[in-house]
Amino acid sequence: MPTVLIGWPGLTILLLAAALTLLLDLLRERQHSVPVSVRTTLIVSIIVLVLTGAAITVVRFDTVTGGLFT
Amino acid sequence: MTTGMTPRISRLEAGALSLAAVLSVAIPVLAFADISLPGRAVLAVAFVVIVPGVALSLLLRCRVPMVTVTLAIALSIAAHLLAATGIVLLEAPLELVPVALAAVNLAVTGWLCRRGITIIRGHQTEAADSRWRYGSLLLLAAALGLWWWETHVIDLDAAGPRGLIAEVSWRIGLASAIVAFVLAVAFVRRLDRVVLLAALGSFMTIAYLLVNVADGTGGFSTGWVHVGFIDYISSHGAAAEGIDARFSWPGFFALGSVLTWTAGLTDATPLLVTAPLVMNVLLVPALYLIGRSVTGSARLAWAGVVIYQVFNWFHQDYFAPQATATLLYASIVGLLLWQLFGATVPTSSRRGIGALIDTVRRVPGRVPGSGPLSTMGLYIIGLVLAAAMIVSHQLTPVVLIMVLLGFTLCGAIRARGAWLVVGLLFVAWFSYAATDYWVGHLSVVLGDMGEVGQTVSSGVVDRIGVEPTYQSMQQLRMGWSALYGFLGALGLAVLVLRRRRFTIVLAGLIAAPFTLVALQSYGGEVFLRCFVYAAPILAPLVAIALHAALRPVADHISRSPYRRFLLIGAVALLSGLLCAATLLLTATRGLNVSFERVTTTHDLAASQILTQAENGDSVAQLGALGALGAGRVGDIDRDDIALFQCTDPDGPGGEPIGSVPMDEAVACLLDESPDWIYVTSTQLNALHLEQGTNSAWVWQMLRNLADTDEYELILDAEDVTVLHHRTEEQ
Repeated sequence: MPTVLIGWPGLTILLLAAALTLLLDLLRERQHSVPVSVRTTLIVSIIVLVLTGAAITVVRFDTVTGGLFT
Repeated sequence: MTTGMTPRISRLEAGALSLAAVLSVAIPVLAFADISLPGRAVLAVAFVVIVPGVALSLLLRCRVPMVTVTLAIALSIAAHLLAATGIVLLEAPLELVPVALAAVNLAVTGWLCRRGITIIRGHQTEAADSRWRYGSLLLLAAALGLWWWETHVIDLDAAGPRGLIAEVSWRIGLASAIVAFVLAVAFVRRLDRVVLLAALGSFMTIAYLLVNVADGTGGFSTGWVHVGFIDYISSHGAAAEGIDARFSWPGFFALGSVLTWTAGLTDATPLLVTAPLVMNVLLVPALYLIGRSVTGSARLAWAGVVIYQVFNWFHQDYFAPQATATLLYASIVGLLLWQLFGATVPTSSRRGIGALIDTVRRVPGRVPGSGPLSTMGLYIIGLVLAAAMIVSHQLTPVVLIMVLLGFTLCGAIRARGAWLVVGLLFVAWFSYAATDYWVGHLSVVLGDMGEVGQTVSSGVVDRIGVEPTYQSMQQLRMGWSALYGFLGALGLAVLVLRRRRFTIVLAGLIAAPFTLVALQSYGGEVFLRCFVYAAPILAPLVAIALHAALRPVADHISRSPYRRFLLIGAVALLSGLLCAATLLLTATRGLNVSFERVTTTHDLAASQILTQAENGDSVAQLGALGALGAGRVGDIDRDDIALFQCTDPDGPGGEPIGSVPMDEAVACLLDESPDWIYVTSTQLNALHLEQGTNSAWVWQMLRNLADTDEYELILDAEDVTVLHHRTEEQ
């Protein structure tokens, strides 16, 4: 089994962000207008997850490469 | 797309569904019982191509046949890629893949049948002219006969810097002329899909399979390396770690392993021979779908398919992951364009920034006849295709993400988050499975970023070689590509002048792959890949440009009292142009035949080494592995350093091999003492064209080495020499 460079939490965060984005798209398709509260919650969650995933990726990448960014 | 409760399918679709059901039972039975049956390999390939895609795509009940066909092929292959990858990651038995997919296929087929399928007649078209149809099929059979004759008499060993075109005889010229004539007549008459498909198949066979069939083996060294990777997965049930970064994207190799088993083959080598034909045939529905959307005309869409083949010299359709990834990419782009051009898209009433914001925020309507469920289904299928691409190839998903982002920014896609979903999946896979690539190729991943000049140098300048004739032929290749790009740009300009919608999207689809130049040199191949991804869009645009140029002539002919004579003249002219283009394709595509082919002697010599070498043995060679890559991955060390160091101490770019005294080279090799030395004529041909290496010097050096007590001459054929280092007992 391969090593997960960004760790299982990092990978879970990325996949969760992808799943929520897909959910948002599917909701838009199913219901022509998604309630604003639902849409806002989903969009904010996606942004937070993507930013967290990106931060983890950068930090892990930096560690693996021996300080590429720092 | 959704029409009533009872699925209505055409007779062709019903036939495909029945065939898929039969194969779902037959292939697992044949594989588990290991029944030797003629044509089993063909059935196994058919299984990969239609199971379970046909049944699943019919669930969408799409009324456009080419959409269903495109979906069926792409979805079947994607399902196999994903299932095989999952099994390899879990290190579970690969035999589960066909069983699981056959079960899915049978379950969906059973569900469709329980709903009560209504078989309807396809599109009502005027009856085809049977005399013309049978006459053209006879002509095509004659052309294929000439090609078959040529495969038995052509002397490929004589191929030099001019490549294949200098070796083909009148037979290929006549066969090309016949196919060109049939195609030309087919385009001026009422469209007959049977004739068009037969002519396209004949064209591809003549253009793509001449060398492989003549040699009796597959060409292209990298294809053999992929056979080796497949062999590794078949033997170990898992992808290798720390051996080759390409194992980080195991989808294609895992699928190859499953296919080898279901086809009853000892290894994947036989699949190399016909791979270019199979890959291009499978691409036809996606190309047609793209062409139909871009041109709005069935005739021009077919013309686009032919034009794509005529300019397809890039040779990226051999037995490799990028060929399947390109198929998935073209299918996704075809579906996106079909949805876009078939939908109502809101336009902004504002100007300037306001219009730009409205464009970014707009959502296109659904394709007429489709509902939320089928649109969602299509979205999910698109993601499945993208996921299969992500686990199979490293470069194509990057282009797809850029394309999806471009569609979103142009307000040309309903699934506005698709680019983010695919991007996240790509990063997740890169992190999860591509460890070897991250760590081993970090300098490659990041080192080329922004180095456009260096990328251009490695992708264009370094590939031209030093041999003057070869250089001219390479320039012909570049000119052929430039013409393709220029005519495509003209077609785009015609659409802009006609105020056709979404020309910006089409321009983006052509431009997106070329942004890779700023990111990666991809081992000097990035320009080839850019053209590969842009080609499916360029082809229908070239058709539009040619149609715009020829339309006044066609109008004049139709009004002229000498219409019949002028029409004969037009067909003759079109045939001539097509024939010339086919021969140009032979020249450009077959340019490297002197060093890209693999002969049966190479295969025999390599098999001998792969059989006799002990674990840990080193095999010295000069460049491309050829058949030597087809097995024992990780067991033996294929090393091209020793020979190069001893014969070319200045390294590439310095003095060519052979510039050092021969005694010194022999002494150096005796010092390095590789266990095996494997040198082929194709390796030396490549070095001669690229660096000016003197082949005779190398052959003599090997003979001198064999005269020493240290090495034993195992094989000294005309085009391959194998030496083995004597052990102490010997």
